[in-house]
Order: sequence, then C-alpha cells, then structure tokens
Amino acid sequence: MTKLILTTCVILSIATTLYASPVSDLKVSIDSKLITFSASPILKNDVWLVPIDTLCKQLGLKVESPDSGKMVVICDSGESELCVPLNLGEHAFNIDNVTYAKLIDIIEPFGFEIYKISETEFEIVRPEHLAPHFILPDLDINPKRLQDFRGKKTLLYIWGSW
Amino acid sequence: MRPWHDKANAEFVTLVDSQNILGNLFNLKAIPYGVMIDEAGRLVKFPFSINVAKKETLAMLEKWLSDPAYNATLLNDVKPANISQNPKVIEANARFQLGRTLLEIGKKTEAMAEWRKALALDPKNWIIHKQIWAVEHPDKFYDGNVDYGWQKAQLESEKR
Repeated sequence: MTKLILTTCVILSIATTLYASPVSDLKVSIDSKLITFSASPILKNDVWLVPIDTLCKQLGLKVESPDSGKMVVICDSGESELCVPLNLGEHAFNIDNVTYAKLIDIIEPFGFEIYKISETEFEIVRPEHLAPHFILPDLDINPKRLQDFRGKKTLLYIWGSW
Repeated sequence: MRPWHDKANAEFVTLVDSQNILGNLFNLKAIPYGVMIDEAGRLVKFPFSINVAKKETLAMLEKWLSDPAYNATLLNDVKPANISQNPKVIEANARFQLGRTLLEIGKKTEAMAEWRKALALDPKNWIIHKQIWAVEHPDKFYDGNVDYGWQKAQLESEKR
C-alpha cells in the first residue's frame, strides 16, 4: 500500500514537470500593488500555481513544513490561529526546489477573495475590504447573492416605501 | 415593492429585505442609504445618505462608473466597517427581529411591545420608529401615497 501511494506521488510530480511550464506574465496584485513572485507562476490545466512563500508573505500568512515532508501548512499569523495543510503532490507541488500551490487554495480558507480581471491578471481582495455577504429575494422570490453582481460596479440603494 | 418598481420602468434589480438584514449589516438607523461596491466586491463608499434626485449625487455616481481613478481614490478614503457592537443596539436589533416574527404569526400586541422596547434601547433608529407607525396607522402608509405630513405631525406630538 505504501508503495502504491509513493508511486502515485511520483507520477503526479512528473506530470507537473512535463505538462506545466512557467509563465511570467501572470499579474497578481493586492491592495493595488503587484506581487513579485520568487519564481514564475505556472499554468497547469487552466489553473494557476504560484510560489507559496511569496504569496503567503504578502498576505501575512506563515508557511510551515512539518518534518514528515508530506505537506506544507499555512497558518494565519493573526488571532484566528487557523492552519490549513496542503498535501504535497495533491494540493502543493515541489518544482525546481520551489513549493507551488493553487492560488485559490492558498487564499480562500483565510477569507480572501480573488477577482479575475483577465486570464492573466488577478486582484486579491482582503476580507476586511469586502462588502458583507448577503442573500435576499428579488421581486419574483428568486434568491440573489451579492456575489452574483461581481464584475459590475454595484450601488445598493436601500430604501423603503414609508 | 412591485408597484414602485414597475412604475419606474426599472431595469435594475430590486431585492426585498423583510428581515432588515441590510439594516443590521450596515448598522442603519434610517433610509435611504447608499452603499457602493466595485467590480471586485470591495466596499468603496458606505453607508451614505443618498438622494438620487440631487445633481451632485448623480454626477458622483456617473464619475464613479466612468473613471477608474475615482474608484481608486474612494478606496483609499474608505474606512473599515464600523459596525456598532454596542450591547443596547444588539439587543434592539434582536427585539426588532422578534417583533417581526410575532407580527407574522398574528401577535400584533406582543410585536408592538418588542418594538417599543427596541426603540427605547436605540431611540435614534428610524427604521424601528417607522415600523411602529406603519403597523399602528396603516392608513397613513399603505393607502396610496405615504403621508409624510402626518409623520411630521406625529413626530411633533411625540416630542411633547
């Protein structure tokens, strides 16, 4: 069983090396400032992989590598004490001595959101800058989420008939 | 809301907030209020007293739509949400919600009692105040036009 798992991990790692290539023109910004990555991000199966260390530093997150070597753990350095493990070969990938993960897997557990400006341009939004989430019915009683209006400037005009 | 929406030939989306969810989220004491949110879901300006009949307000909104630099300027100026955690306000909100539920199941007297307690805790909350008036005097609110003259007179009489 142990052999089978190890074999699978190796195949994944090779696949990553063979089919993913570094792309230098990905632009990721936070607070309107462009992030400079320690290594070029990688586009794999239409999903962006980015170096964990650079991104976490920008977001104020800590990266830990337990002795087992099977995962990296990303922790909130603030009050929440939230830690998220990313298994190597599954959610994190060592490529040319750099540990990568999906952009979304790094930011989402900590409440950050990503806004896709174009195929190669993304803005990370801090949770404290986001409008609070809500769901309300429209006049036909269809539920609408505030997130349904992403990509458009939205004015909430809060009004009553009285 | 449907009659107002249809009369305006509105192309925007109208949502119905019967639970005062937005009032709680943004700590609103009165309406109308505006909240501006950009393409990325960021709060740009909130909540602010809004009157779309004013030329200045429309000009500001048009500038926001057409000028990305203005959005960036507003983002720089926006302060983090200052949602009140005042225990009295929290209790007032809870009592306001309880009153709504009581009214829905036909317990009007009990609902009014909860709303009066809520208003005593948060006396400047005009959403609660008008809710009480609307249930006490539905003819001034739901028979055609809203009678704002009556509301002014009522306010003066309550001050005495």
